Amino acid sequence: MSSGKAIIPKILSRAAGVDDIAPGDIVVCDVSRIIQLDLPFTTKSEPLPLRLTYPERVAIILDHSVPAPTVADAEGQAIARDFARRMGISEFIDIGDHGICHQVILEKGFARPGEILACGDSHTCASGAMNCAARGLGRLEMLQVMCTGRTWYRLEPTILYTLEGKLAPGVFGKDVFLAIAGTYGEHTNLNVEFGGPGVSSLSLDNRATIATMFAEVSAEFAIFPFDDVTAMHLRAAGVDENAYDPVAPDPDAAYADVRNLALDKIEPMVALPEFVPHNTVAVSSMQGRRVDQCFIGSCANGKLSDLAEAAAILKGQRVAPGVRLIVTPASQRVYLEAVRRGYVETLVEAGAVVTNSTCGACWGGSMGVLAPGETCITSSTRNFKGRMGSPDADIYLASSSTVAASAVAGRIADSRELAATS
Amino acid sequence: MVLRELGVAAVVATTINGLFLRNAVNSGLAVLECDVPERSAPEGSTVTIDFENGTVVTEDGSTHRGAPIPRELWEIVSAGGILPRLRREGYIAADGQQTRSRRG
Repeated sequence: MSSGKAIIPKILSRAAGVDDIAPGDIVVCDVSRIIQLDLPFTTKSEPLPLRLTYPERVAIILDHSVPAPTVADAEGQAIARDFARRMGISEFIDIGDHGICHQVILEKGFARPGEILACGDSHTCASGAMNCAARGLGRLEMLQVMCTGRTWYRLEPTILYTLEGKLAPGVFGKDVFLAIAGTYGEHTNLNVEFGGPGVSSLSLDNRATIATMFAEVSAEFAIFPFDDVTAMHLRAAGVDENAYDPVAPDPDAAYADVRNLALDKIEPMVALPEFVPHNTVAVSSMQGRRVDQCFIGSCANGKLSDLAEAAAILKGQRVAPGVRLIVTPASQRVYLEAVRRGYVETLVEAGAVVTNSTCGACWGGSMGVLAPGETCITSSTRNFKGRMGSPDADIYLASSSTVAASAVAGRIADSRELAATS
Repeated sequence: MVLRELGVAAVVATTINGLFLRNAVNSGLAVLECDVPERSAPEGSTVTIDFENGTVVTEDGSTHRGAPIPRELWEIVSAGGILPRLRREGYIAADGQQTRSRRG
């Protein structure tokens, strides 16, 4: 007798062509979309494939170090360009049409409901916002899946977060994640699924932020159900509704735990330096901490809505003296739309730096590296020692709204209070 | 993987965590999730492991059943890991094209 199944076991069993699946089972799956980045071509730690079984499933996206900051990166990107041409990979996202891979994946409709997506980046779970089973794989695995189009997964149990209500003004997907991480900590060897009436109130951007960030608590897959919001986004990306088959949980699906979350009770949150699980607090309790650099960007929070929030807060204001605000849009498309809407003008007038799209400061690669003793508040993804530059710098994680307010105040600030006093 | 370099032929354990399993398979280390009581397999004894069927036969004659890994994973393990397997199937060059490796 098999009980009902949650979303991830249903997607995995379908992709593996098996009728039944239980936690602990290992299944070998067809991967619908395989995303390779610029970094493997630069580091050359694995050999290049001689042939690919399914080149049509592969997309190469240059994102981590673009435009090339070093000769090694430039050489790697040239190798990637040549490889795509030789292998007949039509989806080669070169500089100029590019963005951070998880943003590009969403914009181009690469992540599809009910399917499996593989990528070597740890935040691949971002595509869970599209009802797509996606998680990061190691370099050797990515080589294997790029060559053969298949890889294996072990089914882990699923935790269901039942969302109710809707987010209050000034509260965003990042705060939802930080609240969950603070309360529940690590989700190692667990899948995470979202459900409940509150899901429909979340924008796609907020869902993507939440799904992206679950990598920080070691979740396997993080996945949202399919609804009108997902459908609308796919239509906008030019994906035919017959090209995918969403997966919903069975009514009697079995979960390892069911946790209720009232969205309206969530406040702006911040992760304290060095790690995230059980290490988050309300912004209201951290106000006053001086900051040197503020960063808005990354796959988690470099979206148009993030730039919109920042521009709304910074309009007519100035970045505090002695503080840098660096804004890195998650894609060329976001950048262009932000220019058209006047956000970039507002941000630059306020004293912010608006850079080209790349991962950039998020991983201390370039474009805003921290000095020893500095404090950074960022809407990017990670805060471990040395992540954004010097190991002697402190990193606080927050929403773009909190970061923008902090840039104006020169210290960690609650954007709702800034709005009230301006 | 260090365990292989140390000459470990296989790992049998009651539970194997996901990451260890992935790394073991990818580097060609044979693993089997199987509960074998210590009294059946004391140190120095000989065991016979059938990875395909997921069984361990111990010196006392008892057979212990575990969870065999799927055929496609076993192909990776028996080839010696992902790189040897891809070489054998002609996906990557036999002598390795990349002579230079960089720390990323």
